[in-house]
Amino acid sequence: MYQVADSGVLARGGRALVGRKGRIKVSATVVLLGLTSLFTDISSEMVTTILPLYLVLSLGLSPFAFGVIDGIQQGASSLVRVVAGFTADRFGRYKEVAVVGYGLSAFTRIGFLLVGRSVSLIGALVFVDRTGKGIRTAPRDAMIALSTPKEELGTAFGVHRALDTAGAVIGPLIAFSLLILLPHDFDPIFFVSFCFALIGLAILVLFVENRRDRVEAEPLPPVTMRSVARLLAVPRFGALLVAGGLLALATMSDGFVYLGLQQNLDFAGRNLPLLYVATSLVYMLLAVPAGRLADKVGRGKVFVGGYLLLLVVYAAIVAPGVGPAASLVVIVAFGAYYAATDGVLTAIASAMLPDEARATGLSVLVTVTSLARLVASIAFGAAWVLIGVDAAVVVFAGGLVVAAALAGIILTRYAQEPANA
Amino acid sequence: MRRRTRLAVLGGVVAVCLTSAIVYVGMSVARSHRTNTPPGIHIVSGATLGPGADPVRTTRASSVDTEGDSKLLFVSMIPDRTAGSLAVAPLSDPTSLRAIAGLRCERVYYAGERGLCVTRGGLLNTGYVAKVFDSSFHVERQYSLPGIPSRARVSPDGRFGATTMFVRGDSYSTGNFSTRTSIYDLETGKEVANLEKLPVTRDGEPFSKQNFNFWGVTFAADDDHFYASLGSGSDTYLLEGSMRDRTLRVLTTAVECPSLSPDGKRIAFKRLVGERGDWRLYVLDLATMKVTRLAGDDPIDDQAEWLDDDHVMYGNDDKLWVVPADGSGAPKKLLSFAFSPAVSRAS
Repeated sequence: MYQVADSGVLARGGRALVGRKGRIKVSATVVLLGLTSLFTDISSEMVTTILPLYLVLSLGLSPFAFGVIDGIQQGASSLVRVVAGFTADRFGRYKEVAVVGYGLSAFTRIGFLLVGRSVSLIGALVFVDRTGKGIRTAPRDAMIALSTPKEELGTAFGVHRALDTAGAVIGPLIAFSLLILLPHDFDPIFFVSFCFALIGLAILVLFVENRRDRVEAEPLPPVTMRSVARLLAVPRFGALLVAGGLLALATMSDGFVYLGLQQNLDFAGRNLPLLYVATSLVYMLLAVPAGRLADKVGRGKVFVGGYLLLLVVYAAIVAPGVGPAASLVVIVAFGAYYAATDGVLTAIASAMLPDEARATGLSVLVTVTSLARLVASIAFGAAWVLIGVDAAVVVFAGGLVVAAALAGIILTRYAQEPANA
Repeated sequence: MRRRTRLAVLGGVVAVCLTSAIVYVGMSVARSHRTNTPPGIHIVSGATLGPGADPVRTTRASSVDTEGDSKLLFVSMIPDRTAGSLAVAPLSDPTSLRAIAGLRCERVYYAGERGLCVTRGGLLNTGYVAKVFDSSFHVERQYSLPGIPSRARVSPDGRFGATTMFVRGDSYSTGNFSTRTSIYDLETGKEVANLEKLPVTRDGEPFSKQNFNFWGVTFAADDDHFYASLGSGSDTYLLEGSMRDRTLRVLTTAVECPSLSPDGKRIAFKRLVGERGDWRLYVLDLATMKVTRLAGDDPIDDQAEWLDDDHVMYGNDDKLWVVPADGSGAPKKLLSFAFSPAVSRAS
């Protein structure tokens, strides 16, 4: 198990978090990494929320240019992600790699204060921030997996994602409060964001440690490019990549979902951030229950079930006569979809992957799904223009049904994991 | 490190981080409350304005002094800390020097030595308020507004003010919005008329349709008559109203955001020429009811303002433009980094 410096306090915190009866048990490492993610997410969501506003309104960049830059950078960070996962596995230095990732992102906040109005330098900072995010995700998830028994992986990732999402709720709230307090002044947002990032980084640096037996084991288990290739050839993991990729290909990006909902449910544009916050709240509240359910009844079922909830959201975008009252159902369905899929997919993969190649495997999985989502996003944007939003959603819904059916078959036949192993 | 040390270090990091965050935000707030522009003349250069922009000379505004020269009031959009502030420039040469006042407005209008500034306000700045200010930018009174402000107007003598708010939706171009338009007595702060509550007639008959929306008031000089636009579905109408008789009468169709000329003879307005949001400016002669399209190919979403009896001014893309009122010529850029123009005519 991981070494935790302040086991007493943190275990108490952990117990408070998971309830009195202590039926949900997660290791202190999971809680600590959750807290790191919470503060980091407050920081990054503060910037993410206002960045389009800053670039488009304050610096006069066109929304299209922003979209293109954003897309390219998402793609570029994929490569870094796999290299970081591989490095973490090869040397057993998950924490150090994660610190580099969290640290890079933290210091871009100061950069925003210093670079002024140069769009290219801001672009570079956004790139560094994304790279940092790419670097830290896989080693962090591997640390969660290494500190958790296999049968509780769903719960552990649920706890982590709940804390992580709490940050995604708080961050935009702080950013918008600051923007209301100080209109047109973005510097305080960057500064406060930096402060939260530092707190997150401090928790990681001070309290999370690599598992000794992995660091001290000599010689290190060889993780070579060949073994990475072999990893992908493992039928169960390959099947998971196919299933996850297929589902991601039929997933509309958040932005399009919210835009579509706004048009059909008759929201004022200014209520959109509210929709986003409400969805995150539901995700936060349901992440742990969904993870526990996945551990009990089978993660594959919960994962595919989550995508069926996404169908409900699609339906709400196209169904005529859906009043604003139905938006509550939609918000719950959308939040529950996240809770049932994001952490659960990582749990499925973590359970399959061998310890010595876990970070690499996880980074490959994230890369595959995020690239598939990028393709889906571009395809949806094109479809919106060519055949209209309703037809585009119907096409994606059809694709989602097919992908969910295929994923169900793949996950039960080729990637079966024992329900209670 | 031992457990205690680590906890102490974390405590220190948290304390330093939170303290400096609070201090930083506090200092920013304090700075924003101080008069935004120090006295003296400042040159805002291309580093702030962006490549290709001519430098802008700014100074601190102390009053709207109209002796000798007419003044142009507007919301200044120089992208620095002053963005969104009320500003004044000489109408004869607006680019020469802009004086920036300490008021921030989403929309501003000024006439008869009294101004109306609609801006954020209320609890935690979550709502909107209308601030009534005098010629030295002293706020005489303010009242809260429902929704998001879109238009503001003051009668020529400064007695009455009108505001249009979006209570649902947030722009005219979504086609799915709901507005509330009221006229206030600026001396007492009392609402004189909510347009939705006045009876509408067309050709002498009561006129009513579903989803009436009223917006864009413009005042005549008699402290009684005013004009406004009425929308129902995709149809729009020009209304003539009387505050004294509390009536509204349909004059013609396809008119939005009317603006009465200083001589009271013509109305500049925007009219949809294509898809939603695709407006152009027109001028209606009230005597002949003849409509003339003004020059210009860009879509305009603004309530026009008359520069003089022969020229119409409007905001588009954070710039002010002037175009002849008889349909000739072409729009000419009057001023950059500005919108919501109002002319304070020389006394």
